[in-house]
Amino acid sequence: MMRMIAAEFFKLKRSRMPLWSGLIVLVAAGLGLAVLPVLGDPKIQAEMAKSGGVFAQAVAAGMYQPSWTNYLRIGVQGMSGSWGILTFGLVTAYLFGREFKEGAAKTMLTLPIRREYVVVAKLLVLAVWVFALGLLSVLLTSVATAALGVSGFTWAAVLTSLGETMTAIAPLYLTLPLVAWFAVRGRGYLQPMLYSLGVMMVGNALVQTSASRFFPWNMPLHLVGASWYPVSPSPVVAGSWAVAAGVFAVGVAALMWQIDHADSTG
Amino acid sequence: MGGTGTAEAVIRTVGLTKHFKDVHAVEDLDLTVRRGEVYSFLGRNGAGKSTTIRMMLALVRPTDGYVEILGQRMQPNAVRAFERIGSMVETPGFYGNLTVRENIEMQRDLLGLRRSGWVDEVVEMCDLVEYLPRKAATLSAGNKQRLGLARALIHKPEILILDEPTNGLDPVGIVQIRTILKQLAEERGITIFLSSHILSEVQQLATRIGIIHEGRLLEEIGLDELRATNRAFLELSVSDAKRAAWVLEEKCGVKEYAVREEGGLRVYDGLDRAGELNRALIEAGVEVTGSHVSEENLEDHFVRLTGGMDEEATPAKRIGKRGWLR
Repeated sequence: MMRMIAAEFFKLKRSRMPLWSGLIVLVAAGLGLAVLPVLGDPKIQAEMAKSGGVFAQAVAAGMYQPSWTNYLRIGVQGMSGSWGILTFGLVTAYLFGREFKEGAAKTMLTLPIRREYVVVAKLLVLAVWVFALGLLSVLLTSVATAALGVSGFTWAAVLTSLGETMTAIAPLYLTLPLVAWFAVRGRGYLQPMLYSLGVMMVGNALVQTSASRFFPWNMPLHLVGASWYPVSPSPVVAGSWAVAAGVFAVGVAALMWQIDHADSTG
Repeated sequence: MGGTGTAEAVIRTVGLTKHFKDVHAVEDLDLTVRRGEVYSFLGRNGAGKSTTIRMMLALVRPTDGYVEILGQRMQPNAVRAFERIGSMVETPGFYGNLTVRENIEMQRDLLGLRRSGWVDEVVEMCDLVEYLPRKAATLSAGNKQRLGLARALIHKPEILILDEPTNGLDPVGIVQIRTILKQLAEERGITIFLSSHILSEVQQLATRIGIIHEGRLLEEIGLDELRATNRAFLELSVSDAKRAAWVLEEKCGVKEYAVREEGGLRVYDGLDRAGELNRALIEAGVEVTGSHVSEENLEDHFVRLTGGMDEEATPAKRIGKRGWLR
């Protein structure tokens, strides 16, 4: 098992995908931080307050004021919303679809190693990867916030942001075995990316409904808010986590079945 | 080199069948490979060779029947069997971002092998030394095949299963791979099962062949046995094959002959009357530009067994008992 895990990390050597995923995080953090000073403009805030709804609530709660807490929250929300679904989808598609895309699957599957170990090793690497992206997001947002000259830095704010980021990423990670299943089933990247796009769109459609917090892809929004919808309409409950755990279990089972039973003809 | 009828069966397929919806890729295939054999699995494109090999390696699930290798039923997670099998299926895939050395080392580490002289020997044998620092993505097709073979050999397998190992190789590469495989079979006693449609290659390497056609195993035969059963024939190059056929049949009483695609004829009976046949043809106005006695080879045998050319395309040209030959 340890050999398999080590090999999975080794396969990433000189691969461009870690760099690309890091760049996506950088762009997410940059976009969020670029917009916050605009939202901080008193005239715009007055307009938003007049419009009512969640944005008015956000203005009233001081969420668009230039502070470390607010800037760091933008970083968290950027990583855990739609952007997170697509970025993590891409990373998962790469980790699980790569061998099928590049013709190395037939070698991997004829190794004297149980196929379940391959799946577990990849899921572990995936966990390290997505949580590392979360960490990178907090780091980049912190550096950018400092560079923008926002006053009131505290380590507590950074640590809170880190905690929120990891909490928000957790339910998304639980949905990724299904993406992996699409990657193995579709032998590449197209199916998992289309699927990720699909669930993102469904999530966006559900966001104002009471079912949203039970939709694992929307849980980050209910945990930490979303970039343009910063006030959580309903909190996450134990049932939300139970659904996410169920999605994880179904995803892993489907993945194991696929890798064990499906014909590898590519 | 060369297995015997009494050697232990190391690969066995029993009633092996695979249907992909309406396509019957492999049908009730029973084959046996004995220890030490170089078994060549012959078939045209789409005959079912690759599907059979994938079923052997548990990459494809049989619709019916099973594969046993070294006494173990092949299915996903047949770890014990895979420890003793090396394989290369069609064009091997690699991690293109890693160098040749890293690809080999990763395979070695995954297999839990220690750094040893054998790995270096394999690298040298497969002529990969100068490519070790190169990224696998930049290798030519031939070198990729060599790397695939090196990876298959790295754990000193008892059985090597190769699907079209000379695919995409230039003539020199083909000779190199053949030399390596011969060496492995002769010096290390490795049992080799390889699929191919390059008959000249097979003839120089195999000790036994299995011919598959439209998913069914038509024949399993030792190469020595095949040589013994191959018939001699008189090869005639003529100006008018149709007229020549008529002359041979009507004037000379020849019953077994075949018209060749290129316009010649092969006469299987009356070889001792070559002079008489020549004369009869010339007298009938058929120009004979060449005449020699030869023997059937594997290609002839294969073509005859699998039905030769597409008969529907050239029905008017089919003459005599033995039909068309390429």
